[in-house]
Amino acid sequence: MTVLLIAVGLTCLLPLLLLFVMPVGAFYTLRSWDQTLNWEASFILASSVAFLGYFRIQDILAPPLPIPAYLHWALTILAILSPICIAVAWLRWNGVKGWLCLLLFPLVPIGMIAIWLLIEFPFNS
Amino acid sequence: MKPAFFHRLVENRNLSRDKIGILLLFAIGVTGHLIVFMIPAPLQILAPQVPMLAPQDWPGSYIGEEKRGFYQSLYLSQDSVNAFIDQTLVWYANPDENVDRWNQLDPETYNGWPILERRMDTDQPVSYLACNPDLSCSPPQCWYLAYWGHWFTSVFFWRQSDEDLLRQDIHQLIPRIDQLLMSAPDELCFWFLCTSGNEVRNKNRE
Repeated sequence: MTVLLIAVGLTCLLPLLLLFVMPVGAFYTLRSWDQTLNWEASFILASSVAFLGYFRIQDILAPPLPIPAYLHWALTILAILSPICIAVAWLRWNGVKGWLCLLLFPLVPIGMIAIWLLIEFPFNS
Repeated sequence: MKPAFFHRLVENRNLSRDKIGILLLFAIGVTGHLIVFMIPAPLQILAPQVPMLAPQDWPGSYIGEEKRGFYQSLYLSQDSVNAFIDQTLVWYANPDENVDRWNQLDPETYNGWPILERRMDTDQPVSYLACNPDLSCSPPQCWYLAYWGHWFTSVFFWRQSDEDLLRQDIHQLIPRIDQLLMSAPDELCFWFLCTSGNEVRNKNRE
């Protein structure tokens, strides 16, 4: 019951945090709607692609296939990192501040969890 | 003049460093995407090496459920006649473990059913055939268990009715199962990755 409450709480809080609180914070820093929108769109796209890539890797390399653990982990990390790299490159190209671009590295995995929670809890029952 | 020139030079250098960084990140991202989304599912490549029955071995059947643990069901539906086969396949890195597990089986019964036929030849897979005691009762069902080298298989035969048809299925498919087991490779390989890795061996032991 406690786990369920935490999961439902996170399902509500994480998207709120990522979709509203973060853009407002970004806007305060960037002072530009264009760049804020760019940052938010890149963040959502990177999270979605990382989510799809992660599940594709989990799906095709599930045990008991003869894949060494290090390769499995490397591909999993690559699945998450590669969309972040493209998003960071895109944002930096558009002149978004460097530290705000690099913020995607810790935030995209949280975005993936938010997408997973949204799919798992409100729509799966 | 000098400070302005140096300032511009440093600025230009920072700008080109930034561009190199962007290009590098973009290259890593694109390469990563290509690897993650273009890598073929290894099971599809490994599948021809896995000694499992296929729908073409049992005419008219189709694959019902395919699982990663080398478990598969074949279903047969012809008018009112329904039948299915559940096959489980286990690959052991060490064939001695396969023999050990086999020796742990009860030599008289399997799942409480008497063993009707057993084969202990050295040139063919060692096998048992266990059926429910009264095959004339509906539904008739049997288990076929066999091992060969690294591979162990258990096949569950089920028919809604008609004991003779079940026997026909069994006699049709057992030689094919044996043939598949004997022609299976000692280890599964996907590109340069083979099952001989220690980590994989430990996983299989678990």
